[in-house]
Amino acid sequence: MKMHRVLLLGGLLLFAAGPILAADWGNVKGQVVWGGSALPERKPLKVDKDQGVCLKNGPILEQTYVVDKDSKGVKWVMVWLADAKQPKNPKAEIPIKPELKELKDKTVTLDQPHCVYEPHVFGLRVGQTLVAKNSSPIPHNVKIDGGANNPNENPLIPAGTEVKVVGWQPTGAGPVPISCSIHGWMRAYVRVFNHPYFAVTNDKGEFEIKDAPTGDFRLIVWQPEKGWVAGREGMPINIKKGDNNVGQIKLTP
Amino acid sequence: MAKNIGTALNDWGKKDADRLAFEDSGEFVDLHFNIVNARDNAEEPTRPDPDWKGKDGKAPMERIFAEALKHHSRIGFLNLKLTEPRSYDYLRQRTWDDRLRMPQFRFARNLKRQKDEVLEPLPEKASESQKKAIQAENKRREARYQARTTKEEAEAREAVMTFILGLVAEPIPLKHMAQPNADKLAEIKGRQVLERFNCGGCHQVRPGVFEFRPSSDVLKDLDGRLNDPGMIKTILENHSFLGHNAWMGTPSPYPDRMLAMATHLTAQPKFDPDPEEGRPEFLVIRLTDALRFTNDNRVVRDFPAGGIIRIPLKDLPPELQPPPQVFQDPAQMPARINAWAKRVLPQAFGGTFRDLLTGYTKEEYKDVAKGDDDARNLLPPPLIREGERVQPNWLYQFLLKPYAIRPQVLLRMPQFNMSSDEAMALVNYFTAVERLTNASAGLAGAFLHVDQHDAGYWHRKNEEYVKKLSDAQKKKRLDELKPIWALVQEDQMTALKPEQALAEKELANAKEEDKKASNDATKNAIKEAQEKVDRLKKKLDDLKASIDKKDYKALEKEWLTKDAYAADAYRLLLSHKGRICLSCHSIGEQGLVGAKAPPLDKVSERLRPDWTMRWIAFPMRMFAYNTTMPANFPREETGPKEKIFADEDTLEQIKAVRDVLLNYPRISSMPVNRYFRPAPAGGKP
Repeated sequence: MKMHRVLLLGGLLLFAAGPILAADWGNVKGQVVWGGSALPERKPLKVDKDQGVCLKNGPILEQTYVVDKDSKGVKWVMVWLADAKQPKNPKAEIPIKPELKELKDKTVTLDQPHCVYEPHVFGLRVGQTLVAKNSSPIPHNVKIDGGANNPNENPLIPAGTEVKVVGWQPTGAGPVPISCSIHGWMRAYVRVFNHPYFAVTNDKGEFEIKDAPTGDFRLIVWQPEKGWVAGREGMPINIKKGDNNVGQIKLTP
Repeated sequence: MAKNIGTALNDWGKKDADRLAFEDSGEFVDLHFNIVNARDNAEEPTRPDPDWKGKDGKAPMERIFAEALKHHSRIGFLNLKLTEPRSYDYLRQRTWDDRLRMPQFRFARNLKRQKDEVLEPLPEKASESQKKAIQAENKRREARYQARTTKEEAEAREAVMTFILGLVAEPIPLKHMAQPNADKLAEIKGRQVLERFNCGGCHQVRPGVFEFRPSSDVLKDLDGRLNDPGMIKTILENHSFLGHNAWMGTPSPYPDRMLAMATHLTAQPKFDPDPEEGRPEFLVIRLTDALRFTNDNRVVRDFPAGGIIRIPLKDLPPELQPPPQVFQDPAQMPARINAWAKRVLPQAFGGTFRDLLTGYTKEEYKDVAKGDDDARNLLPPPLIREGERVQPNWLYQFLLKPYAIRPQVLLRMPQFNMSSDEAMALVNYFTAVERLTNASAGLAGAFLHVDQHDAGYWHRKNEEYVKKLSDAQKKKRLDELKPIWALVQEDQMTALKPEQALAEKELANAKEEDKKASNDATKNAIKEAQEKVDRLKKKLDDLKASIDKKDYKALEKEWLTKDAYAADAYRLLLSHKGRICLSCHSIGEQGLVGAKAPPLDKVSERLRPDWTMRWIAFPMRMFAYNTTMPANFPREETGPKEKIFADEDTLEQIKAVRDVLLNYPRISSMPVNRYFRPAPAGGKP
């Protein structure tokens, strides 16, 4: 009996200390669409500096809401999975498919060829390095305001060079804003996760999170201008093996 | 200050009784007071003596004071002065404005507070005998009240007398006197001026002092953050100025407390997690001075200024702990903890109005102010490190007559019409504060000598710089300078031509004068004028020959002996990394449409050399919030190496740029620099 207790206790400890596992894995797909009455118009930004480079590909349009006219899909919306019980806790762990545990890409690149950050919204995993690249012929800087947990830096990136930024930790409610002091209109947003289950919508507002663990989670949707699209705690989602289409998520300004 | 009408009391306790005018006060006392032997009951001193009562309408007075008066003692005088202030006019004929005017003060309360002192009302229907009994009782009660109240008044009067008689104006022992040193005194005086003009309304003047327990959690968190790869990278990649308080902190004077000089991250104190997200565990602050701590391995470390740290709320002092009711209602918690934090947590001295405007600015100027720091750029700047930053002479002039410095600021500094003394007090304040809090910055006082304004400094730097250049480097630079030399020679030629014309005119005049009346003086004048014409002609001929032959030896010699350092430093400033400085700053003729940052041609009169160097090296360490100025000269040079100052440490590049800025008007107008235009970066400028 005593031996059984010891084994049981040992087993529990082993279970508690071990990785959180899921039985199966599925893909989450969906589309974020414009829920307002009229489609927003993207006005050209006032570019008062380095026009030769910045306006080479035409005017720079504001990125408040980037909506596709045909599909009404909203670009640059970040979608991610969160723990069902602690959706606000950025450090809450969720099961990760063994193949995805190791970082496939050690770096994520942020470029600025024509005075606009590409991408405008993106995610990082803990351990990844942000490579802030400047492929343009003019100098830029990246002012990163990471607050208490993330980098606070403002390095210069001379033309044709890059700067590596490390030391990223999971972000809470707010993203880390990135801006260029020289070209005041340039702005990007990064969110950091301790798992790979995040995505940013494409031109048509579509997103896909691959190899997500099956079970109950929350799907959190965020856009820089709107903030939380489906509330701070997102929407409940029960992920099943195979494809899980959450359909259209409306973004109402 | 109004003039006192009463006698000075500070030395009344030792006033010579001969200088007191007793007049007919003795007679006054005899006629107006009932002199009694004792005031207090011998058996029960809280009660009046049975003899202590009025008689024939005369109030009681202690015999000791009455006799002291008659013996012309100052005690007796003072007692009567406080009892009947105007008694010394007794039997005196005075004009109305010569009469004594001191009021008759009551020092004790004379309420009837005991039951047996309150008079009984007379019942209308009472019999005569009953009325008499009540009246007799009321008389006794009144006498009792009078005895008590006059005794208490006499006691209070005696207390006041004791105080006045103790005023002997003896000097306070030196050890008890405040004797601030010059800097401390300047700080005190400056603070008075800051408050008079409410400078702290708009400007953050000093950081807040955050006190907390050096718990294991705090030390682990600080240590962990310093070991964070990002932090290590930032520290390694950037310049350090050891000794300066932005890089090296001072140990806490208390074993059980740590003191962080810091500001809140935003206008509202910031917590982690954010109150909207959950119960806050940490207060998040941004250091303005480095924070020194000893980690668990007993290693002393410095968390540099500009770093953002987290203090567990549990480690704040007890009086700064949020009360439990803040957390009672989760729905109300965010509002309650924010209200509590704003009220209780340390704040920086000043900047309240700016904080209030931050939110408004973000809303109203969305295009340029997307975050708190962007908004702060448009608002009055913090004055933390102001003494270290600006030259005292400039600050003095600026305070008396402010002008626009940062192009983007929405609120301009008004002209306060302060006196020159007030302006000087503020100048001294800022310098003194830095000297007191950051001694190792080695700040000079009110009279600053700027090395860069001195020709000897440039000569020395030039010598050092040219020595470091290889022959190939020298040749390369001299070749590059040839187009500029040609322009310079053209300039010289243009400048000489009017001079030559003038000399020829002088010669003609001298000859004319000689024709009229020839003498030794006119002949001498002709000789001198002719020599001048010949000298100028030779100069012009030589110059023309040099231009024709493209011979720049004279200019090259000047470059090697005088101008090389200034020329290269100037080029570095204007062309560093694709004209990075000119991306935000305008500088003299190298103007910039839509400049966001202060004009650089004003630096020479405005900024201190050391601060300018540290600021260029790592702006974030030197400012009260995350400034938009990038670290343009990191220790590890990014991108292709600079063509000039190529073999130099980037700190030497910073110093060169600093030197040019500190003497910009002269350096930019040097012939070798006058025609230099940096190549535009990228596309069309």
